[in-house]
Amino acid sequence: MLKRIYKLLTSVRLAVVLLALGLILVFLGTIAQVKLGLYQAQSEFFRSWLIYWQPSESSLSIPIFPGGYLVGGLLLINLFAAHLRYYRPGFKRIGIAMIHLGVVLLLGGQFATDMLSTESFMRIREGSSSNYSESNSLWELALIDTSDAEEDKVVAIPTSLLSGGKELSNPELPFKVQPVKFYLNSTLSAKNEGEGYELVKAENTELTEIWWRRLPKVTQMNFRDIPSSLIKLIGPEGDSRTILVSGHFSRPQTITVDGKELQFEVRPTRYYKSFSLHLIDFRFDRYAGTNTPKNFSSRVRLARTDNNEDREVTIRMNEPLRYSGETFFQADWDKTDEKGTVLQVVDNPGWLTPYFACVLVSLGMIWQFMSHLIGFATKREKA
Amino acid sequence: MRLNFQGTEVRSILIACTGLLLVACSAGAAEKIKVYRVPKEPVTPTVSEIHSDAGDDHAGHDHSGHDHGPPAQPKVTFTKPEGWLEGGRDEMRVVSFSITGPNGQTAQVTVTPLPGLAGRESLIVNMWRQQFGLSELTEDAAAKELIAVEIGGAPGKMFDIAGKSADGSAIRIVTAMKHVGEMSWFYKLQGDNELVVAQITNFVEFLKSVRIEAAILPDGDPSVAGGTMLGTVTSQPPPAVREGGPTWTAPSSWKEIAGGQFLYAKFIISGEGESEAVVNVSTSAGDGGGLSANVNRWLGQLGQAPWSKDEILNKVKEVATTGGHAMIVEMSGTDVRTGGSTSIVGAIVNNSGSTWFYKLMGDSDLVAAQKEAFTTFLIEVNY
Repeated sequence: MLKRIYKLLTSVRLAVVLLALGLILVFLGTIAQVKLGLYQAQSEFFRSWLIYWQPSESSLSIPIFPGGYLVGGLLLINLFAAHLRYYRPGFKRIGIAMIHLGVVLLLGGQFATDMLSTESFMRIREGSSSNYSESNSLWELALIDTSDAEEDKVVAIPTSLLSGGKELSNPELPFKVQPVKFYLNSTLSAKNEGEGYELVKAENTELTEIWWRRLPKVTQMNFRDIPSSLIKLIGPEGDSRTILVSGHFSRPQTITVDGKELQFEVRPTRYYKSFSLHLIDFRFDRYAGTNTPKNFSSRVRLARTDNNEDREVTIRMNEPLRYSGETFFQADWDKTDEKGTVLQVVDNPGWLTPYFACVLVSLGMIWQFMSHLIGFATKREKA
Repeated sequence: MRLNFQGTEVRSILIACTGLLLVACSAGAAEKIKVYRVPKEPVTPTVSEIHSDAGDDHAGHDHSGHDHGPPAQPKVTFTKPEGWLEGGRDEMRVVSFSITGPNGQTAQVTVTPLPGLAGRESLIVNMWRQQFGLSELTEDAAAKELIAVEIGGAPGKMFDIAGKSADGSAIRIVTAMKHVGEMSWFYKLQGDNELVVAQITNFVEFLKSVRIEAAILPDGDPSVAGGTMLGTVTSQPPPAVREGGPTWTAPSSWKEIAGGQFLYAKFIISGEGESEAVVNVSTSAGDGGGLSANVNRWLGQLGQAPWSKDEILNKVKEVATTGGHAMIVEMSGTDVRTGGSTSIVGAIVNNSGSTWFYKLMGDSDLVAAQKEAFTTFLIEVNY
């Protein structure tokens, strides 16, 4: 049995099948983007072990095709195992080893990127500063203790945890959080708008009616889900209160627990930095006499208190700021008055791996080609 | 080939499998609750405060999704006329709708901000005329094409051009515009001539309902405790029409502003220096949670401990109003957001199965000075 598995894992046939499956997967994933949008297609086809099919009007999910993780993972194992089975050290085979290592690095690097990279956006108005960026797809329930004069203490609960319905607790919270109902995408209204709307029964909606409705998950790239949830806060004595939290509320609300005030809000997941960026000027240059964009740029002051760093940087299209392991790209601007900028912040610890991988594969191929060429030329000369 | 499972092959497979297992585990790792401290945020508004989600239903419309890209687009709220199907956004259009007529005719409505066109109305009219192959108008003649229209409670201009499309069918474009600072906001209804003519009334109503602003929290009473954000008054004009509900004559020093979807009315009162107070009017079906819950909620907004039922009964005064008895209570404390001495005069009136809440809250001196006017206002409200 073990021998069979070993043979299978090290077979070239498996490599060919996996590569073929990879090709089909890329094709299917690309086509699916039309219907699902980029992020959903990425998630379902490439960042998954299996691709599921759900028959209409059924909650059953049937796996129908291997996902990106399965194909990539098996390919990784196959490469390792086959290499160690067939590879025999030798001067002439260094090229093969480099090619294999390059491909392994490419696959491993992509895994690392998937696992570790984050993409977020930093929005700054002219004359103001920001020390955090926000996710475009992830949300968190932030419970903020503002009692300290200098700092706020934040307990951030990813909203994905609210969807599980499991009771949540943290030593920093004076209560447990029991999700009662969670809508990944939702709408709120001051009146009953019709089918699907339910009256919210929560402490913070007692005084004015709020109706809510579950919305289907959005898949278009330019749209995002806005979650809402009913949560029960359970005190140590078992006393409880139910409140509505929602990404639709654009400012924090306040709750008093044991005489202590806590602010709470559902907001895009924040990534705080050890430095701040102050927007001095945002420029949107256009070609004269037209509305055609010519250049976007943000002149920012980067300030860091722990090492007294304070310098001006201009971020332009194709000229991002690389700092502290993150890259800040000029991504957008405040369209109301063009006095604000939006920087895309990419934190990808594995960003160098594709470069190393390509260099390794290239060098391996050159080595392999040259060793054969030299061998052939030597034989010919002898003959 | 003879396989030796004591050798390096087994080790290599085990290593590869273990590595993959680790990757798999990390891929499936659930998000966790985070706890961190951050410096207090400055009060200056940031683009993120605009919360460009456009996902809330303040004006009672229903979104099937929520925009996040471009991330800093202004928030547009509106009342969607019946039969209009909301479409997507893009870099130029912040809102779009499609309309289908009874005979399959189609029309589109788009809302587009463009910079640098204020005061260039004749150019705009002529640009549209060029689309239909019509002759260019002089500045005076173009000005005569423009008629006044209300856009979001403020004056705007509208013009109407009819012509033939490339395939010879009759089409029409109705364009309304309003300049806000450097930006000009264009509202365009275009499509089949017959359908556009039929939809002009809806279009005009839509224009009246449009608001372009930062997202408004259901502030004031709906929050668990507090939420009234003094000093963050939007430039939104007051609601023009309130259907049903009580009517009143407010003191001249009270300035009515938009209170968001969850308040029936909101007034702001400016005192000496920078002192401010607000009057919120909201309503709820039934008893709205009862006297004790609401009084203690208001106390929570001022950082005060809850009162017992006996204390509440001792402190509440009854005043006869045109709508029945009002229970009035006064309390003082500190607003955690402003740090200033803050007072509340709250009143609860039960009328015809509904409960009406009136809350005067703000700078203690100003509240004391306005208490009499508030009480008079309360007594004279017509239900």
